[in-house]
Amino acid sequence: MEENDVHNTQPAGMLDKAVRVTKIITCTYMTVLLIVMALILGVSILLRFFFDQPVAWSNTITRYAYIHIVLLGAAISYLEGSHAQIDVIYHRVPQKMKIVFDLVHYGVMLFLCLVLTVMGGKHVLTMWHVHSPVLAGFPLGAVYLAVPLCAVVMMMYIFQQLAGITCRKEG
Amino acid sequence: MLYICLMIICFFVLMAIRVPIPFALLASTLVYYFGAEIPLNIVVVRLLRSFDSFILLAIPFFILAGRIMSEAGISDRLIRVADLMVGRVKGNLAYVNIVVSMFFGGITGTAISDTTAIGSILIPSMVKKGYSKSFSAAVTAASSTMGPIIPPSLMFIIYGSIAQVSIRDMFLAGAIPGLMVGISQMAVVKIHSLKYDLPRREEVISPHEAFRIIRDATLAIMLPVIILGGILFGIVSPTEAAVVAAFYAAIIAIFVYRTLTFKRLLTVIRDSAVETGSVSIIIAAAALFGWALSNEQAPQIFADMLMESSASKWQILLMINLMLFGLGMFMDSIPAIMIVTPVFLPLFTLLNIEPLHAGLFMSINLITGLATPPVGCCLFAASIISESPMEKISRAIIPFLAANVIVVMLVTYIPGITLFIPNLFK
Repeated sequence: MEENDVHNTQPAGMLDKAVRVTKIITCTYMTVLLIVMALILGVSILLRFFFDQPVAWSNTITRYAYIHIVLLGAAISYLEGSHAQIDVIYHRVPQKMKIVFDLVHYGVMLFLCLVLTVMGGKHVLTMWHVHSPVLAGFPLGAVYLAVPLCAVVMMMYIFQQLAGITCRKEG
Repeated sequence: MLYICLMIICFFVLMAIRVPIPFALLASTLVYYFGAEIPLNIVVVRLLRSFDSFILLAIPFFILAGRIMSEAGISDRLIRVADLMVGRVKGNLAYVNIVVSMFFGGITGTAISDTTAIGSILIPSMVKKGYSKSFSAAVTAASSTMGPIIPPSLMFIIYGSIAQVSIRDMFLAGAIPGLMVGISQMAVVKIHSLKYDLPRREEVISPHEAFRIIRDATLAIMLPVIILGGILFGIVSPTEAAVVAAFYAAIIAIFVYRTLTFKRLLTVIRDSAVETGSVSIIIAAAALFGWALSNEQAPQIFADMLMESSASKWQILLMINLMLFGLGMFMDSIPAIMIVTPVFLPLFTLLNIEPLHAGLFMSINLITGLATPPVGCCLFAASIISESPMEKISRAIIPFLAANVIVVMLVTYIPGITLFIPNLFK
């Protein structure tokens, strides 16, 4: 019995840890990106204001950073449950129905993430050899990389939640 | 058209089972893409293209500036200055609640942070002074709905980017309607204070104390002035204004007020990045959803259908307002405006309504929903802070909602209210 418990909890524990670590890494990356964006735009404003010489690539690089922040931020918001959502009906249905709702929800999300991972991955590979017209040598595939990354982060969380639902059902 | 119907049904079903709105939009759009046999790789391209815009870069920095100011504990300073302005009138704390929300809205731009930051200080004070819990919660929830329409407003930036309206004009146009919402709520407080003989402030503020209060709050109140002044006089673009605002807020909070540490600032930056994700992903998802609708010419069909009906212009506007009010009751204002704007824009063109005017009345209508049951986030927050049941607050807030509805109607049917200031600066 104890052995079974160990088998049941080990993968779930590893998944929890993986989600936690991924969240920390993603949040740190987003924090750094936002600081870098602020510094680049701040310097560009000063240079434009005092010397009439804005940084030519500031718009492009900050737009790329923004794309990464949005997609990874959306994934973290999903992990934290802070997206806009309607839960009036969810709170009024019985517990069993809530599990059905959750299963459909995660099923749909898993499918969406799968589409984003596959399609995003294809774009990353295609665009990796295309370079930004403003930033010499910068592969545009790096911008598209945010799409599969966002999907993978969400998928990890969905698996963690599905493991939780299985445990609840077994319990 | 069949796939569009399926897509819309799928969207509502997914929302009902608590799929987050941006992902409900994305997933339901996939139904259309599969049905209409549109290559799926377009999804990724369109997803990224929809928020690959320099103007939208203002979003993370306005969020950051607002969060820094909230963290810096400006609520207390703003409350004292509002108290000084309101004076020793009957029901002064209720007026203070409204005035401080106007300041707070101009600085943070979000309704929920207004409810929690102001409510946690003012609701207990109001209850202590003899105001009922439900009235204190209602006035807090109602007044905080002003935040999203008082410039700098994220809602205006998002609407401006979809409808191709100047953000500067949106900010200018929001000034009079924002004031009207505040004044109409003060009128409700006035009636309430006469009816229930609300208490007034006993203490007198000395000139020396008044000077100190103004000096303490001036730097915080200067934030919206810097933003609007910079944009208005063409010194900075809205995105640059947002960056300047974020730096200004950080300098004030760390070096002047000394209420924010560098360590805490990192957490605030992290939270702002996450919030940017949750706000901006809706732009991308709604753009994909909107593209599917326009690919089937659904907005045009909807507009033609309404135009061919025997309804007059004012009746159509009334219908739109009722639809928005209903939508606002169930959906947050930002996703709601993202979804309805592409649908209504062709109709506004046919009705000869300026997109700037339409953006304003739609925004004011939708913010009313932030304080209406069953999903008004401000109402929930106020209920938790005041420990008053939702039913009681829902009843107490009715006069404030009625006041908002009157403002919505005035702004809808008198375009001059919104267009007056932008026209002055043309």
